[in-house]
Amino acid sequence: MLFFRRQESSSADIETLVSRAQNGDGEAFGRIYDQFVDQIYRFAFFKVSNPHLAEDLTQTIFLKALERLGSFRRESSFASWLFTIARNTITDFYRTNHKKLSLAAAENISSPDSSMNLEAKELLEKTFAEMGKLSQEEQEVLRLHAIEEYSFAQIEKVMNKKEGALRIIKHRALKKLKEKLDL
Amino acid sequence: MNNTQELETIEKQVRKLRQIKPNPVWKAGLRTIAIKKVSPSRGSLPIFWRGKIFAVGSLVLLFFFGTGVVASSSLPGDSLYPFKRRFEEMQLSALGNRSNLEVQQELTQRRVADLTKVVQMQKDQVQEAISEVRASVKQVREQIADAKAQYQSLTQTGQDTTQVKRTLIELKPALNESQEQLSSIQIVLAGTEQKEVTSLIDSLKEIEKEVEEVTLEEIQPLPNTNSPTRTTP
Repeated sequence: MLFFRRQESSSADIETLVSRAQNGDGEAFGRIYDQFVDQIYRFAFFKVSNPHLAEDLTQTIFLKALERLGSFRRESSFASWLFTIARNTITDFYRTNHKKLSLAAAENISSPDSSMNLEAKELLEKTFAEMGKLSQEEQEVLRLHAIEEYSFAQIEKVMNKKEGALRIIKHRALKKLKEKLDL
Repeated sequence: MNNTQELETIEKQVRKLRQIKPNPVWKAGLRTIAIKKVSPSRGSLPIFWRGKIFAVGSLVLLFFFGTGVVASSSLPGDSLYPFKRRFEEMQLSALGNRSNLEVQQELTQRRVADLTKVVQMQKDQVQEAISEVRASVKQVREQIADAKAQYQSLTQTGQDTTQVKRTLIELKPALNESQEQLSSIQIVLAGTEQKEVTSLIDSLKEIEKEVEEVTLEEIQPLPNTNSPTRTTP
């Protein structure tokens, strides 16, 4: 499983919202959506490097989650369950569209920060592009720890790697980026 | 800048990728779509609860049918006999396409069969068994009265009475059978019990006559002044 609990309290809140959504409470599902939509979108964007495709995939993932909400059995956290759907959806997408996709570069990284200058935006795109050249394992550790701010203890459970090994992977990944990014 | 500081700078730059977010308008639109799609009918109960409800439901059904099976061999006066009667009522009613009258007559035959068993097995519950038959016959009588009222109403309004007649005609063999069975018991009984069974047979005969009042009309149409004079055979 890829994702898990960030904080016990917020996880408990999510479980309550899930129960309410399972009983037909639309607003509860709305709050679940608010909690995860950006993470899911980024997860998809990191895989397809295209904002429109990432949006399409995010929509598919949430609608699938909605369809299957009744079958969520709490054997794992809701986040793990949701990201399993996300991973499977993206795998299916690749299987069907692998010839059409170009993973070379990110297109139009959408940023809410309108004040960001062109140079900063270019650097952000370069960071994204260089991150995409790292191994899957390195990308995953960086994304989870540096971007989504999960702790190593949490990532340890998901990636089945010891905290020490995760730290080494992260260190190695940052060193690789350092060589590519002129900061 | 030392190596650690350099890596921290890179990490800060990577962290900026958190700014990757979907278009807010698109995000709000999908939220609206998702909320609208949530409805109570969609997975209204978590699997956990659905499983529990299924399990409890199965146990109730198992208990119900288990009791029905065990009670099926019970006789009047036994503790499970009320279950047997209720179970039979539900069973017969569930068969569909059967009028209340047909169901009630079938139940009466079963009560007569119970009485026969009690007598054959020389059990002490003859009185209880006779009471069961009497209650059942009384209900048949009420149903016959209803059927007759329905027949008269249909006749007066010029509507088709075939169905009512057919039901009553089909009832006659069962009434005869019950009478014969009760007559065979009557012989072996004595005293009050014998008198009560005789009274039951009389009641069934009266019911039969009431049935014939309706069904004979089918054979003998109402007198018509314009029709040719019938000759007595």
